[in-house]
Amino acid sequence: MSGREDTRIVDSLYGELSEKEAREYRRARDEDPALAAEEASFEDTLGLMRQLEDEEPPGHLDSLILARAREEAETLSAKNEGLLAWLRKMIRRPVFGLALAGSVAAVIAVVTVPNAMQSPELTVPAAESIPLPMAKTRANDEMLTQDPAPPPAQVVEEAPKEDTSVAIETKKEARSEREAGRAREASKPSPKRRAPARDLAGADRSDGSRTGESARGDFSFDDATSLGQAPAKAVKPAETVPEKLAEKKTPDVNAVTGSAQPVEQQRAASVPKSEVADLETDAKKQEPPAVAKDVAGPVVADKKAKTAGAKGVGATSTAGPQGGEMDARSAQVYARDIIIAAETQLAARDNAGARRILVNGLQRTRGTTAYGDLALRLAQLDYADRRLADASRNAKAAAAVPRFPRKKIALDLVERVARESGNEADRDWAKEAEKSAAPAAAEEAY
Amino acid sequence: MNAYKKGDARAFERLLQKHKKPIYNFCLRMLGNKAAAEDAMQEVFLRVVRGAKDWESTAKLTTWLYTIARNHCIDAIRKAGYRKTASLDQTLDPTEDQGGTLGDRVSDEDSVTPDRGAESLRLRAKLAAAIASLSEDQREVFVMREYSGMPFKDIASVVGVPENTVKSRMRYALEHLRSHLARQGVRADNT
Repeated sequence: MSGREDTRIVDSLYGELSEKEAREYRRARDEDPALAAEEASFEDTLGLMRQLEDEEPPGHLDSLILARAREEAETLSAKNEGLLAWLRKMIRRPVFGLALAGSVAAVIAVVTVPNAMQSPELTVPAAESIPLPMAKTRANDEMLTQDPAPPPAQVVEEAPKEDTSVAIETKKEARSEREAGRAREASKPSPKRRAPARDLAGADRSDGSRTGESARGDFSFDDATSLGQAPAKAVKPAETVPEKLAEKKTPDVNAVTGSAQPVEQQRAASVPKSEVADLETDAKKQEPPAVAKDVAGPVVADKKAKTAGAKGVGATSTAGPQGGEMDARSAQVYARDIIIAAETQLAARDNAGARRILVNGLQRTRGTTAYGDLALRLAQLDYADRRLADASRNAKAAAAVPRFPRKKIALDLVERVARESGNEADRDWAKEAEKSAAPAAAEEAY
Repeated sequence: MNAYKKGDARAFERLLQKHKKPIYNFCLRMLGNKAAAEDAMQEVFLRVVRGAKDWESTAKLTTWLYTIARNHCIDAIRKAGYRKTASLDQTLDPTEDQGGTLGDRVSDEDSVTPDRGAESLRLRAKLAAAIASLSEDQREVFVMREYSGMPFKDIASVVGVPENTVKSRMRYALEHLRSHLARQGVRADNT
């Protein structure tokens, strides 16, 4: 019997033949008594096997599974609500509230005042009795023609004045000068400062140039916060463009925490000194020398990744973005791909391949919370493989990542491994780290 | 699953209620042991919990669940050391059948259970023994198709082989079961 008939008899038994195929098969069966007998005997066999009924699973397992699911759901929920919580927190801050109110007021002014100026009935009284808005309107017009996206500093300061402008006439000239000065400053190119303005007020503006701007995909302060993490630093209205740009240019600033302290120093500060040495040694052991020397070396790392993950998806997924250090968003996306690639290797029971992929991912995500995700996954893999020493080191590395949302899970793992391996020092470390994490979390919430 | 990913714990409860029975029975038929099947089912759903954040809504949940269950069962079989044969997709070979021991055990039980209720119990034991006598690859295909009602396409996705290979395995499984049941004296007319 040919392979095709092999599958056709099965398709026929389960009614998976198309009408045409079924017709052809019936014809073949009618001409071949052996085939007909075969099919009949299979039907009998299936009839017998279908008498084996399903059994009910024991109910006592549910509670354990559901308890674990609820625990994880809280983590997932916190992760999903990260951005909302941040927005709520920001709205309570006066600077943000002013910026938001200012943006709304500015949008209203841009939309309503020029329209009023176009109406002959309204233009004359407005010009005579309310001189200040006239001056501001001209300034606004200038801003619109020169730069469709004014920096937020102007918006914040202008907003309350728009509302109270009728009562303030004595300072008309001084303000007009100031407005003009600001309009001139706004006309200077400052792409980094446009991003916050886009998110604060951009939704209400229909300026085409703004769409093009967002399409550039420049990473900004807002991009970092959209990942559900705390903002790097609240944008102060008084900050000048050069200050802001200088901050952006600093290569070692942690994009997530916003601290000016270099990422490695931050990590070192949060890990006990004895552990730092261990982690460094471990990192040296795990990292291929070429990559360890140059974290940003994309070509070397890509080749290694392709060699490491040649069996599966990892070959392409671990290549990662080209270029140097990643920003938080790229790292997050990259880490997700790395974990999927590693899971694929695990599904193929290639634990060593999965480990290589994760280690390679660690090189590229330093200084981001994604590093913690990868280190934690690696630790879990080590734990599953009963590599307890590695599991402990990697879990610690994950727990030491600043603002790592799954720090608790990492610490639990450190503690569990320590318990199983009888390592009292690690247990104490986990307990201490958990204690020190609590005030930090409270401070952050405040 | 999407709801659970957003943090809705009750969504997982619904998911568990819907899928636990088929997954438990799949594990039971793959492992042939209730305690092992319970452990397997628990591990499968814990893995689902742990992997929920990485689950993509484009993926089919059933396929994902069975992939996890299948991988776990294979690991469990290997660890337990009762994996029978690595030969797959070959024509039925009488020497391959190692279900004799189980069959003998079932035959011994025949002599002490004469009543009708026990008759049914005895038949079930024979059928379970027949499934246990299948090779690992034939068994997973047969169980997923016959007891979990999965389409061949989805089974192919879970097992990671072409659909036609799955159908071939199904056919060999049926041949094997037919001959095994015949040797045990089980026929359609004696049910």
